[in-house]
Amino acid sequence: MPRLVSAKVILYFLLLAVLDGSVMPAFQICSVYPNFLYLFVCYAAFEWGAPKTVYVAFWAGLLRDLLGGGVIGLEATLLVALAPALDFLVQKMERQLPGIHFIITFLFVFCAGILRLLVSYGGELPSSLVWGYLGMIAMTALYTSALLPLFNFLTNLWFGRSSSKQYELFH
Amino acid sequence: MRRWRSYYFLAIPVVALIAFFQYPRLNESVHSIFSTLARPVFVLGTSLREGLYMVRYQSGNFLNAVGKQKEYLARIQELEGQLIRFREMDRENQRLKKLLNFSLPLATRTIGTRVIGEDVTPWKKVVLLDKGSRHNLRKDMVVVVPEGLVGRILEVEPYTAHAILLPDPDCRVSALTATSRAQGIIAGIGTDKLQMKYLALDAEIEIGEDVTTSGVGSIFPKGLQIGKIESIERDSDGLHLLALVKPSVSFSKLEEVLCLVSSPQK
Repeated sequence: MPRLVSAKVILYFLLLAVLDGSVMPAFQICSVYPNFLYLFVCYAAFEWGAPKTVYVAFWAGLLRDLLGGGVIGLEATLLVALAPALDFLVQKMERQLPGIHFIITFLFVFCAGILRLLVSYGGELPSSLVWGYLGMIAMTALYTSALLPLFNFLTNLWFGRSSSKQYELFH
Repeated sequence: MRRWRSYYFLAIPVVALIAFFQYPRLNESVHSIFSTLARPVFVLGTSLREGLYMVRYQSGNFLNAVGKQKEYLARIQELEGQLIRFREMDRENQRLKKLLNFSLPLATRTIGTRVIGEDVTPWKKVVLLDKGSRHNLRKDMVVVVPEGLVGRILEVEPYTAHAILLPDPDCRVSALTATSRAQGIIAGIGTDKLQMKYLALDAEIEIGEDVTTSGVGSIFPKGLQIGKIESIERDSDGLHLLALVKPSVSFSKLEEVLCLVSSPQK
C-alpha cells in the first residue's frame, strides 16, 4: 500500500485526470465513456481499505471538479460522502460471489452519477429527460465497471502488487 | 477514533464547496489557474485522443473495406458466372446463326438438334442427339453442319437419336474428289482422320484437293463437303490408291447439328 502523499500517487492522479479529461472521449460508445477517477476510488476501497478510500475520493472528486466547470468542491463532497458507504459495502461483501467487484463498482459509479444529477438539477430537470439521463448514467457505470479488471491490472503495475490488505474477522 | 477521522474529512470538501459557492470569482480563479497549469498536459492528451480517433476511424474504414471486399468478391463471382453464361450464349448464338445461314440454301427441310452425349467406347464415334422420332427424326437421315458432312442417324428413339459420325470405323460414304473427279469410299478409322479407299490407280489426285459426297447410293446427297486430301499412297492389295483425308468438320467440337429431312435433290 503506497503512501498517499507520494510522487507516484500524485502522478497517477494527474495521469488519470488527463486520461479522463482528454483521452477517454476517444473511446466513447453512444456518447458515454468510462471514468478512471471513479475506478481509482473503487480500487482504493478494494485494495487499500477504509481510511484511504475517503482521501482518494476527495482528490478524485477535486480533480473532477477542476476538470469540469462547476463549483469546486461539489464532486469532492459527493465522492467523500459516498466513500464510507463504499467502504462499508466492501467490508460486508460476500467475497465468493462472482463479479462482486464489478457490481460494487457499478453501484458506486451509478450512485455518484445520480447524486451529481440530483445536486446539479434538483427538481428542475424535465421529466422527459430524466430517463435519458438515467440511461446515460447507467451506461457510464456499466462501461466504467467493465474496465475494472484492466484498471486493476494497470494500477497494480504502477504501484506494484499489494494484496496485503488484512480484513477484520470480528467487529 | 482513527476510524472516524476519515468521516471528519468530509468537512473539508463541504467547507471548500461553501466557500467556492459563496465566492464565484475565487472559483473562476482556481479553475483558471488549474487550466493554465494543466494546459500542456491536456494538449498532449488531446493529441493522443486525436491519434486514437484516427486509429478508430481508420480501423472502422478498414473493417468497412473488409466487409465491402467480401461483398464485392461475391458480386464479382456472380458477375463472372453471368459473363461465362453470356459468352456461352453468344457462342451458341453465333453457331446457331451459322447453322441457320447454312440450312437456308440447302433447299430442304432440316431439323436442328443438339448433341447431348457421346459413346464411351474410344474408337466408336457415335453421338446422342436430343431429338427423336417424336420430332420427326428418322433412321439414315443425313447429319450436317456448315463445315460439311457429319454422318447419319443410326438409331431413333422417341425422344433421342444416335448418329454415327464419319470417323467411326463402321461408317461408309461414297465420295468424289472435287477436281480430278476420282470416286472412292470414305471410311472412318476411329481417329481424327478419314480414309478414301478404292481410288483408281490412274486417278490424278492432288494433295489438298476437296472431297465431297458423290451422291451414289440412297443416303447421302451429292456435293456435301467431307474434307481435303492430305496424303496418297498405294493400297496394300496394290490394286487401288488409298488417300488420307482431313475432315472439314471438327468432330470433337460438335454441339449443334442439322438433320436433313429429305435429300436436296428429292
